[in-house]
Amino acid sequence: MKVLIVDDQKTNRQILAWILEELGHDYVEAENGKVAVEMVLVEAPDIILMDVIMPIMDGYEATKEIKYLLGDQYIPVIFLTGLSDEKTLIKCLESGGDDFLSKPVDEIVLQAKMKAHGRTRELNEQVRKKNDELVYLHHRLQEEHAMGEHVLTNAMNDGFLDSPNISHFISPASLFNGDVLLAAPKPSGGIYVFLGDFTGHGLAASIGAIPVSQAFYAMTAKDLPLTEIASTINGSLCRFLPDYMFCAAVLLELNQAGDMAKIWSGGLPDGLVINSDLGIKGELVSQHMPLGVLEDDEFEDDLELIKLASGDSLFFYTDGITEGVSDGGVMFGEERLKALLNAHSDNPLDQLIGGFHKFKVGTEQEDDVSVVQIKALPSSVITSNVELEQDSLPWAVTMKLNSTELKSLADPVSQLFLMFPNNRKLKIHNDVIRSIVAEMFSNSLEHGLLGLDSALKDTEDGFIEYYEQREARLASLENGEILVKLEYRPAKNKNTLGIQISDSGTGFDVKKAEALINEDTDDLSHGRGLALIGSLAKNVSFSNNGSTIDVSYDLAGV
Amino acid sequence: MSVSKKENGDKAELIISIKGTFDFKCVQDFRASYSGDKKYKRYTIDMSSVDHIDSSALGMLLNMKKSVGADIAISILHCKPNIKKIFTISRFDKKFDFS
Repeated sequence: MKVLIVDDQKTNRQILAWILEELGHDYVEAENGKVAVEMVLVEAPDIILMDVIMPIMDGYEATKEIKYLLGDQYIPVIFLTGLSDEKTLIKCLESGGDDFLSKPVDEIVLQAKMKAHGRTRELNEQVRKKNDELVYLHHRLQEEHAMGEHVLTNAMNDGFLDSPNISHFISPASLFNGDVLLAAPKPSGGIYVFLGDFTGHGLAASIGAIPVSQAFYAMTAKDLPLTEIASTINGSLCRFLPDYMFCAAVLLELNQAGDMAKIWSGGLPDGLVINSDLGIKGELVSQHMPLGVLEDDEFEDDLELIKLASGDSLFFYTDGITEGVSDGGVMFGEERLKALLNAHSDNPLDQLIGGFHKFKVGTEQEDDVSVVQIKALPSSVITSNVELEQDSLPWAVTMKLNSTELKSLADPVSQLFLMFPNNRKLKIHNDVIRSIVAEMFSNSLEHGLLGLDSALKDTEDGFIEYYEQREARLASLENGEILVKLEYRPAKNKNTLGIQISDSGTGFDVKKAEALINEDTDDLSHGRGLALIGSLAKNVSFSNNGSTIDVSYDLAGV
Repeated sequence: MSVSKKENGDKAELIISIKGTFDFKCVQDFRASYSGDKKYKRYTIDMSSVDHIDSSALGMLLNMKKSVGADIAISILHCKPNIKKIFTISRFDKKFDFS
């Protein structure tokens, strides 16, 4: 141990120094209180031996200042005093001293006290270090929580929950919510809603919300069917979550007119159909196992179809509300919930939440609570500002393929569409436009450049032969070029995409081709391509003796 | 693109599954999937993993119909909306079962 000896008498210091040296301790010396105060922080001694009466600054004053400087760091101060009256001892303690030794110092007693205070100091240091560690870890945890909260909040993107069709109440039991409530507009009209309750609550439970919300928003934006969204979310939860974790959920689609809902439900408490005049009209019992339990091949995607009348609402909730326990240890339960919702209020959700809070007075919330009400109202088609801005930008994309490229590229049309402009409106039409371009491209290549005869396709063997010829002729194609051009030129009241494909071939009978566009091709194995283009697009025309085909596609209709 | 097939439980039905883009590149594989020696009472085309089709797929399906016989039911199931639209436009519901 390192000892700071504070005494104005050199001989006294020397005697103590000898004893300490003998006991195997280091030491530093100070000849008065002021010097001792200056040395404490620099020398960082383990114990201080302090004389009482000294010039410049006495032992009481020095001890006070030293203890003040050290704050919560503990260095024991042992007073060395020739005086042993009560008054002196009390003064020593008041100034912050930890012990006394009477002069002249007895070696055995000093050794014993050094040992005892050394142990105390060691324990104190350990506690202090642990405490610093805890403070550090606590700060880090707070930072990580803030960051987690940021990610989760953004992942939830709850903006659409404010749409007039939806009322909701969300109350997590801790900072992180193990319940997930998501809503999104259906691009072709209507809305999608997802309510889920992960096993447990807090951060661990809320992590599952990220894959769910990402899949939900990506798939709803593409107007995909409910069954596909449910099975995709199920599959991703199966892969992401440990076996003991899953998500009880309901996934719902309300049509644009607001009179029909499709529902996939698994594991949540029974939903309710409530009418503003008639009260509870029916119950929606869970049909499936929760999401994240069954593997892809076992997953069931059957939906329930509910017809809704004017004034109807659908209610779904997580079990945090029915399993809430009151101050008296009673569970809230389904009966209370139904009674509150059945009370014919203008706002049944507020009625329910008000009743629940009253019931829970004086208790902590045990689990996450979420309730959502979906009203049977027609929804408006959402058009965002971003889309309008993009709509006014004219653009064109061209792709020119020579014979070498035509031979080597497996599927140039789909490759072209992989780099298609990231425009929301065009995305909705992407599949149809891609089909049109693919048909036009096949026509130009197969008939324009390769001169294949569609009539071959009338028999099954001919069909195969046709594609064998296609392969052979393409392989020996020497000169030839196909030019694909997509052009968008916005104009008032005219929202069309122009598609032009030209080939360097000699052309064909335009009249015959034009006839096919409108012909009933039910029983033909060929000619379907042109008929399909004719049905999907607004205008189709040929020029250059059939070597150029122009199609305009109407982006206004969905 | 890939074409696979399996029999259902009572071996009376053949289920043909297609993955990816259903276009002319499937011609050989698709024909081979149903033109074995065994004749089935029902056929089902599982379209759940098909992203795109073109008019040659329509031709292939019509050829299949001709080949197995007009009185044998062929169901086309789990179509994505864009594909369903093409079938609807081409009035395939007259000859195939989509329910």
